[in-house]
Amino acid sequence: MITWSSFPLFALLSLMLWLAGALSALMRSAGGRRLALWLTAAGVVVYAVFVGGLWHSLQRPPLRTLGETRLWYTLFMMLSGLVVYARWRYRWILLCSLLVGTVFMCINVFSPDTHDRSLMPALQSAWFVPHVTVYMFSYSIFGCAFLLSVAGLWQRTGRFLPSTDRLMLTGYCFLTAGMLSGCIWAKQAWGNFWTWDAKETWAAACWCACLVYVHLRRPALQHPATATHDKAYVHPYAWVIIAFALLQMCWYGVSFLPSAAASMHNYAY
Amino acid sequence: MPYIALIVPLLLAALLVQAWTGGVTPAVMAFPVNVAVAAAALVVLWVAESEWGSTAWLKRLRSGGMACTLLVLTVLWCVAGGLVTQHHGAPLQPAWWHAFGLHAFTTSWPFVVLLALLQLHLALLLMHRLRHKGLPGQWTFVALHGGLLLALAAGFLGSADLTDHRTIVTRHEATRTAYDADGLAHPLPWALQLTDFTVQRNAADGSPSQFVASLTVDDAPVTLAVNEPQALTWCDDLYLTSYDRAATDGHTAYCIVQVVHNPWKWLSYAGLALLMAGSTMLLRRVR
Repeated sequence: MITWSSFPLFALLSLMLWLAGALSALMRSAGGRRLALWLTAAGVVVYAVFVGGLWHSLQRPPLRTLGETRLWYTLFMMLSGLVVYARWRYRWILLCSLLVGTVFMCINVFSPDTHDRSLMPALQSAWFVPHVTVYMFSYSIFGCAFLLSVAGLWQRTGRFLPSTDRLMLTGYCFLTAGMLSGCIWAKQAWGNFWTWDAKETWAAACWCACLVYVHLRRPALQHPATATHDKAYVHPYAWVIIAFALLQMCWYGVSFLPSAAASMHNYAY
Repeated sequence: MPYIALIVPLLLAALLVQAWTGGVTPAVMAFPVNVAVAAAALVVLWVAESEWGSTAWLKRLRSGGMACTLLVLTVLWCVAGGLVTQHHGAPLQPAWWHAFGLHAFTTSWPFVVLLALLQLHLALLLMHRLRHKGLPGQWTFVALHGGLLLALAAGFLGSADLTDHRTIVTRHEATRTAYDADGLAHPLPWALQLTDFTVQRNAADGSPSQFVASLTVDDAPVTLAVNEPQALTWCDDLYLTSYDRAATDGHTAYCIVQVVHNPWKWLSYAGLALLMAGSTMLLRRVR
């Protein structure tokens, strides 16, 4: 049976596959590209086996604690990086996604949560899995957009903007789905669609920041052919970074604030 | 910059009102005032759009730049409010941010003004788009912007009509009284009495996995569980929120039931459904 104590082994195996894939992606050949795709996909499968096995052994979705959400973030981060690499072939994206994913993996290895099988009544809902997983997936897409934005600012180029546009739009759609499922669940569980507790306040800030990006880039989104090599790249990239920072606050930063003590989302801390 | 010039004076005025009078009292907008205000606003916007829709001022009001400005200000106010511990009512230890309403930022005048501006902007934008382009080919746009407008309006206008009370429901006697967050008593139109309470437990460690309360509401049986509320009317819902945790013999003497009255909830559901549909349609268009 796969338990949390198996995590370092699965994490190491996935890490090795992902690292091999990321290094293969740096090669310019078609063979290197294919190897990168296969190795990264293999790493995703190994990691997903662990997540699935843990779900089975806990007899509940591993989505309750921060550590468990970090598991999913790493998985989705590598999956999103793989899709971005397959779609746009930025040779460095797998390495950067791996770096981000490794940070969260290491936190889980060196500072593990306590994992028990109990799922409190508040989390016994059909909305639990879709709400959290869709949010984590959107976070991973924003993570890739963040990497592209940092690269764009570093290289002082707007050539990543078309890819960033698509990632931000996709991330926004999933973020909205996560948020709306949370609203409907909140109405079922707490009696109100939106209570403006600490986590929801930061979630609203993050969502609005994504919308700022979407509206800033509206002309380019409506006419993609004109969006390549955009010279006005600083503001869009900056807003991606701001949205990503707000996302981090919403996800786990809020737990360090005094306002978190009274939050309805307290079971996640 | 012209957008800032439109909005900043309003926000500064709101800040002054906040510092002088304190936060907004939602009760003043209770039905039918909220419906009348909304209807009047829509009529004014429609007339303005019809008569002066091509003027520079209205173009600015419904522009993407205005949307960005309002969203940026909302982000800033949410961040400020998110950093401060929220406390509705008089603060125990006043601090400088209380003057701006940050301790109860959702009922602060600047936030209320921002939300109102956002809704006016959305309404104007939708009117213009529908007048000039009609509905065909605009489904994604209308779903996203209309859904957000409906959801915001339902929360904004409906907050005055929303009541959220709690009542202790016991086994030995039916209750017709509930209490608000300030401890004030309110009569209930129904008599609630507890007949049975069950705690379902996780097999692994014995921790509670579900709480189930069997009640009578005017002698009719009703079952409540966490995440399983019961609708008594089209706008009244009962929720199970707590129980007699001190009971050691398994005989729970009482449970705490939340009674939510929200006549605007169906508008909220409609707004959320439209937003979800709009996001799905948008996702399909991403290439």
